[in-house]
Amino acid sequence: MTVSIGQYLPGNSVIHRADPRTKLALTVVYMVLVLLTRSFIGFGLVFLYLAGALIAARIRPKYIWNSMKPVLLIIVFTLVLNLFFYQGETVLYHWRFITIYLESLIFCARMCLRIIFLVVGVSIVTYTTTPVMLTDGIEALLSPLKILHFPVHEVAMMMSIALRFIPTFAEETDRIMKAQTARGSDFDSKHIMERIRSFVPILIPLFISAWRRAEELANAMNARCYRGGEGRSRFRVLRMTKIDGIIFGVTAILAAGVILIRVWGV
Amino acid sequence: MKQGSDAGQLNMPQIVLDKVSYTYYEAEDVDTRKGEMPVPKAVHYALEGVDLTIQKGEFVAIVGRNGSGKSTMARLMNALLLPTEGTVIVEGISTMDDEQIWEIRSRVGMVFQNPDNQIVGSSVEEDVAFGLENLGLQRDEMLTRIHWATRTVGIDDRLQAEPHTLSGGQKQRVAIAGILAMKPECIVFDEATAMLDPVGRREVMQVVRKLNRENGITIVHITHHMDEVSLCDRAVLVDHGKILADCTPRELFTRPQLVREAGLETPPVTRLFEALREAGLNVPADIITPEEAISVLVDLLKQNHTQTKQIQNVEAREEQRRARRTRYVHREGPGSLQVEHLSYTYGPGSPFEKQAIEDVSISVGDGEFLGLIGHTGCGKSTLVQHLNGLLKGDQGSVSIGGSRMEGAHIKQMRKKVGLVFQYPEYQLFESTVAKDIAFGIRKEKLSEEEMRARVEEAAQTVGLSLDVLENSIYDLSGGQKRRAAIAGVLVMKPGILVLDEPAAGLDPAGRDDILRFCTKLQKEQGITVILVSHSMEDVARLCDRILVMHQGRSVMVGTPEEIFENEQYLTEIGLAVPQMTVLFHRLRETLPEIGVSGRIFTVEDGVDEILQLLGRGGDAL
Repeated sequence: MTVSIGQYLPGNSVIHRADPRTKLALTVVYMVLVLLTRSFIGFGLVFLYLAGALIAARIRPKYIWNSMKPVLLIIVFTLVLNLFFYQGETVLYHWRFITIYLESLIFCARMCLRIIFLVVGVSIVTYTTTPVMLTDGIEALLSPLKILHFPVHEVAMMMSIALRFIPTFAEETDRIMKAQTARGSDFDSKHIMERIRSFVPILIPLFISAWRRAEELANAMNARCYRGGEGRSRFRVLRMTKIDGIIFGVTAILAAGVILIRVWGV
Repeated sequence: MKQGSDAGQLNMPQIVLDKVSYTYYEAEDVDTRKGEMPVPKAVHYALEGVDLTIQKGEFVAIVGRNGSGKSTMARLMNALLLPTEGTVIVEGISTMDDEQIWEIRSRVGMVFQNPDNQIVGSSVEEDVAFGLENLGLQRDEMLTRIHWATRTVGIDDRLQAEPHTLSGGQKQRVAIAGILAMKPECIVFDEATAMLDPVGRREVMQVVRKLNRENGITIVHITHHMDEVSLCDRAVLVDHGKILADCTPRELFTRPQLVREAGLETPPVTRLFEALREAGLNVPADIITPEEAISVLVDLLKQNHTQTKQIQNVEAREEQRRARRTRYVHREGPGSLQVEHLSYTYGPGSPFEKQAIEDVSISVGDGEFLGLIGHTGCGKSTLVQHLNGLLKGDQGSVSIGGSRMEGAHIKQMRKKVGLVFQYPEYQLFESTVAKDIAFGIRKEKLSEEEMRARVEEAAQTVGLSLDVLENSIYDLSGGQKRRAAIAGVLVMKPGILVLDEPAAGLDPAGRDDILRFCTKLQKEQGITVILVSHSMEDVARLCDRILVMHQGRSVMVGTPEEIFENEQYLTEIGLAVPQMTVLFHRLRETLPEIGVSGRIFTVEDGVDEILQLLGRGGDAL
């Protein structure tokens, strides 16, 4: 059984090769910029930036559509609600109790564009960065918190172990489900209570197994001299390259553009 | 942190256990809410007064049955456990010394049983790097060591691979590389081969031997597989927390009585010679490999055989032995099973698409004992899951007792096929043993007494004492848990019982117990049994017919005699033939003039054949 973790798409584009710290930090910057943008010229600018990133990352349109699917419902919902309940001045259409204003239409378009830009932007990062690299990036970005005695290394270690064990537990869940089905468990019963109850014989063995694995893994880590983050060197090193400089530069241009447009109110 | 002078270290033993005991307590049932302190009810000795010295560069096997204390011994050696009494000294450092604990662990590495639960990294190279990171090494040094260690264990072509894409044997080799890269002086293998298939075991044992012979690493190998013991220089037999024997493997095997009492068994060739000696032949007792056995037997037969008579009688002897076995005669009934042109593909249309089985057909009679063998990944488990409708083939069909397994009555038919997965004890979940066994019949409208009777019957079948039925499942031993899980399938009274590696990880005594009641169910209750196994010995001994699978296809079906005739082909597809069969095939080839039978699978048949060839008391047997 093969399980894919996260939504990483293997590749070797410039975006793939960029440092995860760059990608994570700039994602935050990008999100702020998208939320700041009001005018359609501004959105045009963001669109150019995003399109550039997508082309550079060599992500096929199919996957962009895939990342949109889960939020489609939210978009439609926002659209409908705002279209009918937002109050404006310029009436475009009126029929009995339904009134649509020009302002509400503009507001809706803005909302939708923001959601779409946010989702696509974040998925470029998850599509081009392995979960392991993401963890490393998060650890590096959070490392200033060590001063506040926040266990940054331990949290990162926990995250990477969790990632490592996802396929193992997926296989195990499948096996236990099948074993209990063979003993008459019914996971697609029509009664909702019956169905909820049928998960007990899966969850308990899984939980016990997780404990057993945790204990054995702790033993194995101990035997390999693991004693927390202190005095530990790193095999995976994050290195900034020219690519990161260019990405920072392009993003700075975008930021300048978005802020200027906002200030001038174009 | 170097200890002592180099000259002193040379003569220093690697590990010394001095009068070591390790105990644990069983707490009395007390109400802790009332503030009562748990009073120890009984003290269990996992180890009792053990003295053991392991010299540098030694290759030591510690053998014993499940629960004999051998794993406790291993964990004491690198301070994962500390002795209750006595001391453990690793290269002059006591494991009780808190300050030196990391020094000890970097010198004595440890490889554990479960391949999945000791890999930390998300790729091979990252996992090997894990220990090096803990030692605080520079990255360049790490890379050098990673390449060296992975090359030594032969996994350097999969550096970027994710752990879950590797086979069991590969994962264990990654674990070994992870330890090896830390350059320990000694590696303890704590049943590191117990969960592997024969191919994986062979891969790992080759590496282990190489580490000892070429790299001079002290090896402590904990196991209950006697064929692995014969690769070691020294064997320490442990039972009930005490050392029963400490000698060479050869000396150990010449004391079969002692080995048996400790719940283990000597290799088939050794047992053959033991039986021949009992029959009054003057053969050596210390035969431990097939090669030695062949040379002794060739000499013996050349000197003694009554040639002309025997050539004519090969078939007669084979027929005689065949007649002694109860032969299965095909019959149709509720327990018969037809698989017709079955194909199944995992994840069709996805990048992970894999055809697991292709055009498999087999007809199993009511009450037949079918063995299913094949290399790991050959589609055995996939096929087995079709037999009770857990998977539905893309093409082809499965019929039970004449009716097709499809549509709405799959759930009804599923009850007729009891499926016992590998390591079934992991699926136990109820609060008591009895409740867990009864899980499969909870929806049947049975009275409390009927329910109880069914549970007790199933428990008795698997040899589980009725006293433990009201206990928590966590109070059972490993072997008892396994039996409770199988009882949970038998309670549904299936007409067909399918077992996927039911003896995996059990010691010889535990394995025999499980296989015994499988045979009993078939013989006495006429249940059809399908046994998936990696042990050619078990399959040859127990099965009426054998289905051989390779790369998703069924490549051979036949009686053990017909199947194991094809030694070369089976070897090519990663399988083996029983050790006795290998032995007699070699004898037949070496002595073509004496008509030696090649159809020998068990020690009993081997003894019979040799004695008859020597013209001694064959008919009387």
